[in-house]
Amino acid sequence: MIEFIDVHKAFGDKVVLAGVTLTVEPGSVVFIIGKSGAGKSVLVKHLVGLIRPDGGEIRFEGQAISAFAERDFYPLRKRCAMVFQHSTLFDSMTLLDNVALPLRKHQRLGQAAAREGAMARLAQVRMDHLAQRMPGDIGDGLRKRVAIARALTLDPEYVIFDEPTTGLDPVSARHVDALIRQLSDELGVSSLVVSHDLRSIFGVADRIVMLYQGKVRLDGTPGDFRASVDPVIRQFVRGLAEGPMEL
Amino acid sequence: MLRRVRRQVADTLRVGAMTLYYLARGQRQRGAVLAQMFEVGNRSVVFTVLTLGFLGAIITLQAGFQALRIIGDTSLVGPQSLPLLVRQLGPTLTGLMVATRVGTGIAAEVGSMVVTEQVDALRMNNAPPVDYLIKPRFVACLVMIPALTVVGIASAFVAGMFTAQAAFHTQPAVYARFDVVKLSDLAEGLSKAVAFGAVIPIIAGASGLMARGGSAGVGEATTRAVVYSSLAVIVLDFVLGGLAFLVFA
Amino acid sequence: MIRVEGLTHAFDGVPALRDVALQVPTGGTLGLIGPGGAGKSLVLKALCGLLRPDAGRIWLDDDEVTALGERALMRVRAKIGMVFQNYALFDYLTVGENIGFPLTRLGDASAADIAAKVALRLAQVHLPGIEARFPGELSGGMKKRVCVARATVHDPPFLLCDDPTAGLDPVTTNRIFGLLKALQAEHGATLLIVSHEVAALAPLCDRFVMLRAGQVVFDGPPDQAHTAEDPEVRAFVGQAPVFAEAGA
Repeated sequence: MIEFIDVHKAFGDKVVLAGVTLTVEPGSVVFIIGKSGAGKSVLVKHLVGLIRPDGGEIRFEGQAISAFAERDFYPLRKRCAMVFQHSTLFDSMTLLDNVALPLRKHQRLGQAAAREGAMARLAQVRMDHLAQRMPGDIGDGLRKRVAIARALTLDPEYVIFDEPTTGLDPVSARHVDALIRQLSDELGVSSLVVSHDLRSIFGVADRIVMLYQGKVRLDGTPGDFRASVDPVIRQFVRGLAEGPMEL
Repeated sequence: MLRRVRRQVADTLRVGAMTLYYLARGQRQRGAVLAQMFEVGNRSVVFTVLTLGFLGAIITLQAGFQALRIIGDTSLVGPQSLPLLVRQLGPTLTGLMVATRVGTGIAAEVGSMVVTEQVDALRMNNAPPVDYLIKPRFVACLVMIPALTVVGIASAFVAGMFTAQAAFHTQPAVYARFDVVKLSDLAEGLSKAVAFGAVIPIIAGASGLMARGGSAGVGEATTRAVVYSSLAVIVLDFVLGGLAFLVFA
Repeated sequence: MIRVEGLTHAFDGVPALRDVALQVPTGGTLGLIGPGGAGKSLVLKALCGLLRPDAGRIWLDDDEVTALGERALMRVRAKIGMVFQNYALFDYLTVGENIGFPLTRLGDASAADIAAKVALRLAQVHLPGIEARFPGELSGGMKKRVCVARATVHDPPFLLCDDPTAGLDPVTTNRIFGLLKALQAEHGATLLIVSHEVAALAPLCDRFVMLRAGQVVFDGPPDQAHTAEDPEVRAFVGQAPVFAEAGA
């Protein structure tokens, strides 16, 4: 279980998080939503120690990580993988070798064993038939899947996705959505997804947390969001240009 | 490999020709050249003074040891090394230093503007990238690299003079003999400095404009800039040195 | 009017555009859609002469872009406003200088006129008074709006937008689309938008053109795309809005 308790963070005089509290239960898909620049990515980067909080506490499986030294995060980052928005693959390597790389580096596997493990991960994201292709030969949506396969190599319990469908066409985006759902349902992986793609949000989330003005505006199921009468929530989930949300 | 070299050479020649064209025909931008001159000078002056200063000290020390061993007299170290510094080592080492410092800067700046479509945006607004980006950098380098060369030679000379005094008790008046520098030495050194000043920004600019595909492309562009502009400095040093020999001998 | 005929281009022998044809009437709005790498951005680049196609002809009104030299293209480009996919804001210039850039390069407007026009556009994109800031200090949504302001500051008759809402939340997306529509209405510009936000884009457009692997696979009004023969076209546009009134 991951817990954020009253997390505060400011950059200079710009307050981004002003007391955010939320929990992520094992095996669930939780979406963090909010407008561009609302602090969604900032919040999740706290979890893997890429950003340190100004105040509040973050607990991973009951362990307070705010006081962690940099090296304490190493084991945590294996259990908690991150798929970055621009998670780039190495252009000069095949897809298979891209996925095999963390296995060789972190688990010090030989080439054959690493490729075998990588092939299994590629199969999980249904990309094994393209294993020998180069990243430049395939589309954005497929590259994203390979990046997800690479994040899965060290068998993480949690995967953080930073805007996984941004920049993808609608068809590729739905394939990525399905993959996130499948990871949770079939492998028991918990996903923390930063997104403002409404279709992903309402398609795959177990729970949605909306950040607004540095705080949690609503934490609930997709049904709760659909039924909400809060004008800010209504405006956001309908994507309306007019409304009370400040730009 | 050969294809890439050929492309780099072709692009460099094309950018060079376009720069000359825009020097004659392009739009004037107020302040751009001055800003670039400041950038080039500011970025390299400390670096140049330090490297060339140490170089001057090293030459004096090594030449002094040799002189002591062979003829037992170090009074000729200054007069012997100054002409060499003026016509060859000063311009070349300053050129190499500036190629790494300013060349990479230009390639990285222009390259990142290419991959973020800023160069396309310039073209859309009738600001041809060679006219708007390369030309002011070219003019700035043409002025500033000879200026830096003078600073570099002066630092090497002064450092050498102090080293001679400290290590061999050579009086500054004995070390500093300016009459040994012939007009041909000055002409050779200056022509090299000007040539490097012209060639470095063109090669670096062309490398930047050739950048493709994200931040990796920018990295490649800066590497190309430093490799090819250093190579150009060495080759020009050889060619101009040979020419000077033919002309003045 | 924008007219494209037989546009064909290949990179190192790999075909990127194959016989693309499309047309946008003066004052019309075309949505150019398709999967990543289908060639949408290339079409935009070819339209303003930033890409020289291997074959095909392009007209912007009476100017045949594909037949013009770089010098003549300058005159044509002055008639185009372009919102680039990667912002393409000049990061060493302030927001005000960025937006005023087309005016300083394309015409002989006085500094006061330029400042007034920049202030007007900034107010229209709901970012008044940020002239002195640098692009690096702005959020993604703010940068996109500055891009729209820069692309429209010289009232171009053609407005080309390459994924103008990529990475933006739905509220900001709809605001950007609304802004483009409003600026178009002001001057009757011909608008061509590349976007993945098919549902939000549909109400703006008179026509959709879908590209796949460099070829046009659909060309028609947005509502006809739902019943297109090609199943991939239907899949692409066929996702019902999350809420019935979304995108309204």
